[in-house]
Amino acid sequence: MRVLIVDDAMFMRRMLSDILEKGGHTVCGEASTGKEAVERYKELKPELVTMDIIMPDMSGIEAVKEIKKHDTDAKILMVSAMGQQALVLEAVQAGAIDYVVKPFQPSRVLESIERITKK
Amino acid sequence: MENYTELFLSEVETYIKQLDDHVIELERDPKMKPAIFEVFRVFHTIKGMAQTMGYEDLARLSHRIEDLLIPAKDKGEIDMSIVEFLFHAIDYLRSTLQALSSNSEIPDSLTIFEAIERLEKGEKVDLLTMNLQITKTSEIRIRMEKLDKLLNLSNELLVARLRLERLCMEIKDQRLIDFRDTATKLIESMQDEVMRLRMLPLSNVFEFFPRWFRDEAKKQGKAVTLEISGGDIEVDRSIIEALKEPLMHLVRNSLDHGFSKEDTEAGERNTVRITAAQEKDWINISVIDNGKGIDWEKIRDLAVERDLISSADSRTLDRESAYNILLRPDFSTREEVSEISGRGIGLDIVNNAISRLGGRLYIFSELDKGSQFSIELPVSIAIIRAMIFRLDRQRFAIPLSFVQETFNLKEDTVKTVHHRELYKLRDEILPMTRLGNIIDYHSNSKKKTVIVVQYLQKKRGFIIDEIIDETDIVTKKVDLLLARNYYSGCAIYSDGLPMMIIDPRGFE
Repeated sequence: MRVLIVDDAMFMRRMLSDILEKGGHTVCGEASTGKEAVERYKELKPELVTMDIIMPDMSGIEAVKEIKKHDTDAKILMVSAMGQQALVLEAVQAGAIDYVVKPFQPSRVLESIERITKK
Repeated sequence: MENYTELFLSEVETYIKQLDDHVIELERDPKMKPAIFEVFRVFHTIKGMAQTMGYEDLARLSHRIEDLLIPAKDKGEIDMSIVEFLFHAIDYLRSTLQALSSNSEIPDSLTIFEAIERLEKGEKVDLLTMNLQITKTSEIRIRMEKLDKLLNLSNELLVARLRLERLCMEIKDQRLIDFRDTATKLIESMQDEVMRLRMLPLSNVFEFFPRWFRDEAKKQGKAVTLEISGGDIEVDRSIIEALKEPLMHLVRNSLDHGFSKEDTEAGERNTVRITAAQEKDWINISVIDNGKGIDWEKIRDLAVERDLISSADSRTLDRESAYNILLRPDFSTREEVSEISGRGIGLDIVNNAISRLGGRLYIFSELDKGSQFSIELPVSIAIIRAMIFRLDRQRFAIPLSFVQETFNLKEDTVKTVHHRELYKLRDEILPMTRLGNIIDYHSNSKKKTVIVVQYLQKKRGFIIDEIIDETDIVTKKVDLLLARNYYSGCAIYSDGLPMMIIDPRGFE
């Protein structure tokens, strides 16, 4: 799968990217803010987006809404830190397909992507 | 996971700098919503990263701070006691990071958790007496050494290139010339790359100051603002590292002596500014305050009192020379100087540190208006473009950044007025200096050439024998035995022989 990774921390992007690539996926791009995520999505048309929630300039939830407005079939996996259940719920309502919680197990991320692929 | 440790540490380090900036903003304006959100977001991000790395304690702490900030985030205003706490939390974060990177023991976090709990209950927290464990260590990264090795090697390569150049002139073989051209291109681009690797923006040293200054000013109870500009100018890493101490000294001097507590209570705008500007191969970093200024006549009188200068000399002593007395070790280490003249402690140390970098320190001041301490430094300490000239049979180099123009001299056009030699250059009167007389290289050469140099808004004509070349030279520090103010270092010419590098500012 061609994946766009969205997270404000370079550290998290690197880690996710390693996990995804080991799992046989291609990272087609990265974004560090919500706004950038929307732009990159339109430009790269990835098959999947991993989305952080709390980011500068536009939150992950806003970004999900924007991306969904642009492409109703967009597949977005929320990747959030602990203690944000309410926000994750909001994201799912906005159109996110699944979520994983940091600190994540690599297998958990890959399983989740596999589930998404089958859907 | 080890692969990620380095990335984790360097990223959190940049977050700490951001936190410092935002919390300083909040101290000025607790209603600054974006800053509150940013502090919240950064702690949130650190939490996620720390969890992933398995740094449980750090994750928990960031999580607690995040919680502590939620009311402020919702309200759009932060309580000052929380701002004060955040400064300590950032310091704690910094020391934790240092401990993680040096594999030493992580400072105890119990008191900091206790402080959060009390703040949440709305209790007063005296952070200073809670004695948060904060260690401060200087950091040295191994990569710098590797970089230095690379620079040394590429400098050797430059010397080799210059020899090749020489060989071409002697042999004049087309194949050799072609090879020289290729090698020159490659060596030059490599040199550029290595130099660029070593360059860092001045913000690397400047960013330390806002927070430090805020703490110092607060300690002294003075309302003085620090302003910084020019942080984007890039200089060699070694300069960045060596600049912090002298700058701290100058900024502290301005704060200590430029302003009294009573003055700052009067509500006037009191500022210390750190500015940087670049001109060709030189950068000028100044610490400017609008405080009391330095009484140069008092310095002069003190110097006479202490037999540092004779009273006869003192009569002709001008303002600029009086300030230079401040740089003397026998003057500046005396405690009372600071109280009487408003300046002085340890300026000789600052001056020495700057000299070691190949730079100079200048002082300007006006009573009741303020003072300016300017450091002039070469952008890159290793390679400079220079003009090579001859005095008798000895060669010398002068950095091209000083050179304005050159011309051949007819002796009878130099006029002597009051023992000073002058030359009319177009519509300007140019003071002339016979370089050989000063540095003891007398020549009988009939042919004379003038190099017009400019520095510090001063123009001089240096009379020398002959200009030989214009080329890149690799500068090396001068041995103490040869150390003179007017030598900034030495270099090896393309034939392998050494030559001294002249620094015209040293003749003042």
